[in-house]
Amino acid sequence: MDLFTFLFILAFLFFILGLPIAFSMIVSSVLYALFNDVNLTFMAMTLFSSLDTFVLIAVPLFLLASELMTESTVAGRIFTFANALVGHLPGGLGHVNVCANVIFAGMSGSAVADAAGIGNVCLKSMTKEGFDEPFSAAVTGAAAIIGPIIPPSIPMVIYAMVANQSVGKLFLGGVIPGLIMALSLMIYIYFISKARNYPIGPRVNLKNLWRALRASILPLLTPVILLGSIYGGFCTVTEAAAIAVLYVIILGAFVYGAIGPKTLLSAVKRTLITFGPVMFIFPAAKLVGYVLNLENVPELFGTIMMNFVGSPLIILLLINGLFLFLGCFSDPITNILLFVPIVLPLSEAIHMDPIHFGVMIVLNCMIGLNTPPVGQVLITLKGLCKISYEEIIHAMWPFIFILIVDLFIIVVFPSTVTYIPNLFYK
Amino acid sequence: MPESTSIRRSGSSSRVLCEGPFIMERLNLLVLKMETQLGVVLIGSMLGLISVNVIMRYIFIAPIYWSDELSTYLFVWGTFVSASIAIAHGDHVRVGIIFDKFPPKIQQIFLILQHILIIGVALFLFKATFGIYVTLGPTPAMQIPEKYIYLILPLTFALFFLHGMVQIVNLVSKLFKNPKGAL
Repeated sequence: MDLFTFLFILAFLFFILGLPIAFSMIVSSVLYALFNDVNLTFMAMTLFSSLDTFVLIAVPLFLLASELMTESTVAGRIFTFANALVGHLPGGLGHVNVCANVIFAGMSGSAVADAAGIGNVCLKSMTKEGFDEPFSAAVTGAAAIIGPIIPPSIPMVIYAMVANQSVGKLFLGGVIPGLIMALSLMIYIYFISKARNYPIGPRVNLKNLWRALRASILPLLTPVILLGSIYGGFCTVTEAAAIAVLYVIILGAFVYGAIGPKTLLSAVKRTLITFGPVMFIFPAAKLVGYVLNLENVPELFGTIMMNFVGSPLIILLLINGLFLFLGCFSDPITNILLFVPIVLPLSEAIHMDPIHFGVMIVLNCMIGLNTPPVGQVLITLKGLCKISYEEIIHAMWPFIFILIVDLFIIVVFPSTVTYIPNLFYK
Repeated sequence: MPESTSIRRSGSSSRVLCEGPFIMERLNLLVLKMETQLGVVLIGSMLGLISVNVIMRYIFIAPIYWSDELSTYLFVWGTFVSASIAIAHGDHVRVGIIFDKFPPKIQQIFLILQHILIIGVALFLFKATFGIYVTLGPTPAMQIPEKYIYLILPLTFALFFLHGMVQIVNLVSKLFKNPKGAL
């Protein structure tokens, strides 16, 4: 057994025995460097230089925006508006949950933050109105992953960095897939709710709908400001994220009076504590990527796959299968950082549109947030309600099935992804 | 098995934040407090700088040419500070799926071994950072010597070492205090 294989197995052991993912990667890369006379100083500098990118700043900023959005009364207002919009359909608050998440998706880029923010508001009122708790939790989890598909999106920023693609194009590529997901979830909720006789809200008259719209019009403008400033060519994604944060601060502080210096400080503190563990995986994965490149792994993997499989369709199925499998155990950022560089040459070999490929991978990784045994959204949901982990998973299965069907549709019809980016970028 | 099969954001180690010898604990908490304050300043000024730059560019047509560079450095520093805080809190993303199946006593020993790995790698990288200061020139926009920017690396590894050490001391003392092995 050569050193590389040994270290690979060692890294895997670290990984499953609970060493933090970032450190599993750093420790095994440093060991590789020590045994192979790779310059350790260079590795230390790679840790720094891999983060030295303006685009990545968008990640903590989007997290901060989500924190502030939850802190101010924005989540509640959006819920009220969604309720006025679709609460009267059979399936009532289930549809409200999905729609509120679609709206919130335009301001937030993290599924976990969505589940804990707007998702929590919807979940609480669903159970209060008589939906059973596992179903409500499953709807919340499935709807939360629309967040990073509809722009803005943290995993897409990470993907764009890894695959060297335009963040703007990827963002737009997620719009139609996000809507397809929302529609398919609502269809399922409609039939289940009819069968189980879940409560239906009263139809809201036009006057009340207008009132709900007026109460939430300012937060509803956030996605317009965010995307308008990016696609109008006014500023970069990072700057747009900063503007969104400022907008939410101004809204929360001066219009709704919900954010003071204290809440602002605690939101920044929480962002500081949550973004590091996520972000630190990035430089660690860069080290592993560097080692894998030294060993020619991506090239080797590509050649082997092309020789043994050949058919593009089978390769796509295998890639999706791989990422769904990984999603069951590992977290999305790690999967994107470690495995996208390996499968990227394959996507080029089968002449797949890079934006199409990117949205496919991100959607795949987001489904992984909901798949047992390990899923961060599942864990968040467990923290939000009183039922057991197994009950949530049990109710989640049909939703996972639906989301995989959506994934399949998006893979088979590339224009679902590429249509909107092609309109904007000629 | 609620949190058992999970990627956890708060590992068991967070529970041993305040054990162990008094001086070490005080030092650890003091450093942690300073890190948090530094981190908040870094993130806050990063947000401020980016926003001010957009305003300067569109309203005063006078963009701050070093804004992108400085805000990126603030971000990198913030990430490292946050990663260091996460060691003290036991907040780093980990896979608990097999780890959680072990009895508490074994888990504790695993945690000690993990932190030994962390401080070991921190030591090696800390030593490696001395090599950085040979080649660096000034940064492109601000013309600050890059070696000052890279100072965060040895600092981070030193902090990793400190937090890792404190965790080990805490875990070991806990191991001996509770021979029955309740974590």
